[in-house]
Amino acid sequence: MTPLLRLDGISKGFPGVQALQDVSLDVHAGEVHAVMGENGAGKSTLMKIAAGLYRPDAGSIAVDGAATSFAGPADATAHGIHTVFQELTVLDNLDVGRNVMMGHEPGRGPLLDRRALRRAAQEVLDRLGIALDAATPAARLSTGARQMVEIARACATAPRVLILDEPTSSLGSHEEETLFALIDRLKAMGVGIVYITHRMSEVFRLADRLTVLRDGRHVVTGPAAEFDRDSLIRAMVGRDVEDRSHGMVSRDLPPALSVARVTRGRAVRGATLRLHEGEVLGLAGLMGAGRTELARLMAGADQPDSGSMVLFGAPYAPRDVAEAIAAGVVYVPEDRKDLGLVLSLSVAENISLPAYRQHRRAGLLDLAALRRRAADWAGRLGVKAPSPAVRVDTLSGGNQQKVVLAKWLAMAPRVVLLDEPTRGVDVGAKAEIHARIRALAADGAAVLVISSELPEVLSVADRIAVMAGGRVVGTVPAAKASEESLLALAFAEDEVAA
Amino acid sequence: MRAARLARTLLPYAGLIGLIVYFSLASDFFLNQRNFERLITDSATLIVVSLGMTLVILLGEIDLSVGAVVALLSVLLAQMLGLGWPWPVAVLGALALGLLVGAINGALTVIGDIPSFIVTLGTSAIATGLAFIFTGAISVPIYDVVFLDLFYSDTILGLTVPLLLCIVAFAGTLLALTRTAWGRELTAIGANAAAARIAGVPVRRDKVLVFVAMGGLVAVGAILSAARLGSGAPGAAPSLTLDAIAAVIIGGASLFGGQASLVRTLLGALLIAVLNNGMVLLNINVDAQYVVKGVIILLAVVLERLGGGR
Repeated sequence: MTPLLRLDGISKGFPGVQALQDVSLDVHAGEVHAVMGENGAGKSTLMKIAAGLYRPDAGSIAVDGAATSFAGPADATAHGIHTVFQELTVLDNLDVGRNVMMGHEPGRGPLLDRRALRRAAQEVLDRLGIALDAATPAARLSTGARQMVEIARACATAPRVLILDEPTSSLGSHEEETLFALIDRLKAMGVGIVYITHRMSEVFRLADRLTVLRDGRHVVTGPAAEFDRDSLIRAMVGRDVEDRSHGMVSRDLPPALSVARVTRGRAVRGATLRLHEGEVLGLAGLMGAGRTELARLMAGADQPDSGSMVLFGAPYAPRDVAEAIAAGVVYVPEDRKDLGLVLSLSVAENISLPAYRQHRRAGLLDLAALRRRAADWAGRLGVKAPSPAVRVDTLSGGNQQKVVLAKWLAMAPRVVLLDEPTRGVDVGAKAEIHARIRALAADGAAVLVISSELPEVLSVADRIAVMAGGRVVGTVPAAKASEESLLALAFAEDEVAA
Repeated sequence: MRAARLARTLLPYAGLIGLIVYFSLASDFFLNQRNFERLITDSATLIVVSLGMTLVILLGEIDLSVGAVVALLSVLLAQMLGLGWPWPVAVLGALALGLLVGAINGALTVIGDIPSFIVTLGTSAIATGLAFIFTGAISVPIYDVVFLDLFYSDTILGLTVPLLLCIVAFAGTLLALTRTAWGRELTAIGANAAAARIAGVPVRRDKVLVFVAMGGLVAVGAILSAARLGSGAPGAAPSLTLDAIAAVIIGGASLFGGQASLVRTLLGALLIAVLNNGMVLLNINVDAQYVVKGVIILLAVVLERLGGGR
């Protein structure tokens, strides 16, 4: 059978780096072909070539067996190849229908035919089984719904090949299921799907075949059934990654930070939580359960409407982040591009940002000490960068996340709140970050880890608290928890709250 | 793209050198020490105010009130001197008023959460109105010879006082920007205020302080302006706001914040100073200066866009 799309012997170099070297990939009608690899493996470059954004230096592209080349993204789309990138591009000021039909709005002469547009958009949504109304303003959509709109837009013109770039990186567990059902439906319609992801479980749930890239080279392609977790990790990192549960039991000490019946707006409604020194507490829950909002209250980024917090036995009510930092509480936000880092600054400047005020002599900064400190912490976290003076946006996602961690661990915190610390990070960096989190707790810090990936929570935490509807609905020792039991907690309360 | 970025980087250097060469060839009076001193004296207000404008634009904010406030403060300074107050008291009074106006601009922008564009448009109109009301639209002459000589023609260590004040203001702002916590935090705030806030940076306080610093520099500019004109004039600085913003833009700053350089702003300000000075020497219609400056600003911004600036 002729593949719908075939990339053959593709090479692509950028100044100073060979991003791809002789890489091949094909996708057939009605199959999901997963592409895996660590950050920097060349996945994005390969996708951008398939999407017509880059031109390969060498190699060929064939659609339906006919050799072709793409002059630009519009050309790839004209060949039926649509790409949904990781960054969502849904426009808030338009409704769902306008977003879905963007670029091919039906019109009467120069005027937009609103009724025809809404009808066409609704047809696309219905055909894909997406439960959204074309008239809903996009501003009201959840992240998961936005992802669906994004896919619907790609499907508005009957795509033959759909390329999905880490589509679940911003979804909660129940939204993932909706996405997977949609992918199954597209498969049945004969669409060929290229699926890029970091998540093991998705590959085995979805993929028919998979390809692993490493350092811009093709490692292996084969039926997904021939791989297991360990062989896949070995293929990606070229070494064994230690990833075992530790199963420590929490101690009976007074809590480092306890939160009692705090409330803020509709997001946090009477949450109670105890975080001990020397433990990692996982905080699980669905999208919108109030996990990030609760962490922001603990971090001083927001202030509770009611309720109280106690830190090491003393009342704790930080009015801003600086007060929380001074008290030894740091918060590592989930969105590293918008909140975690200032992308246009250097690695060293990012690491130093919270610390300038502690490094003054007679009002002037001790620049030498700041430089040493930044280099030291970048080294300790294993940040791979040519020098601490390079702009942080030149680094890979995993290394950027290590810079964020370095920035906060350098503040010598006693309580560390980590919000999705490994989102969009490759397996190698993920294992390093997990090890760092365990080491932090072993050194006596109280660590809270918010994660939407249940396997991550289960493997890194000592205890796991589950949030739903703005409350903590249960806390269980990690050793006694399973994905099923955690999900049951998260969903059960969700129904009660709704 | 690359060529545009290079052109943008070279613009302040090439523009300044080009103008100096051109005016040197076109006029016999351009290239000598006396003209250089006059050029600095004439443009000291612009140079000092441009430094403050750099900090404001680095934050992603703007201050449209500088021209009007320089005029108002020069009027008030002249009136204080006219009351017979000793000149140091009047000068300190002008400084205090400048800091106050800056604090008002900053507080309205930060606490009121109003775009600085609108706030300073408002304070600019108020300052202009007050300056005309206080004077009945007539300049207030200054008779304090000590004040006039000191801030216009006296020299210290062989340097004229306006030149000296420019050097001190430049060194001071450069030190503050590179060697204080406040200064280092400004770039982060301008590039990503949300990230700075969650990193514990006192974003609001830092921002208000920038406007206060701007107010102080505006006051210094007003003192220099009053001394140069020998009076407090309600129309003292008609093109100062445009010129100061132009100097910062020519110096390569991004109007979206997070990127600006004091050294390059200084080059931008000197470029405008040379342009003003040279066009007078060549007897070119004063009004044509506006056209030339407008073209230079647009050229700088277009080059930034082509160069893939943020």
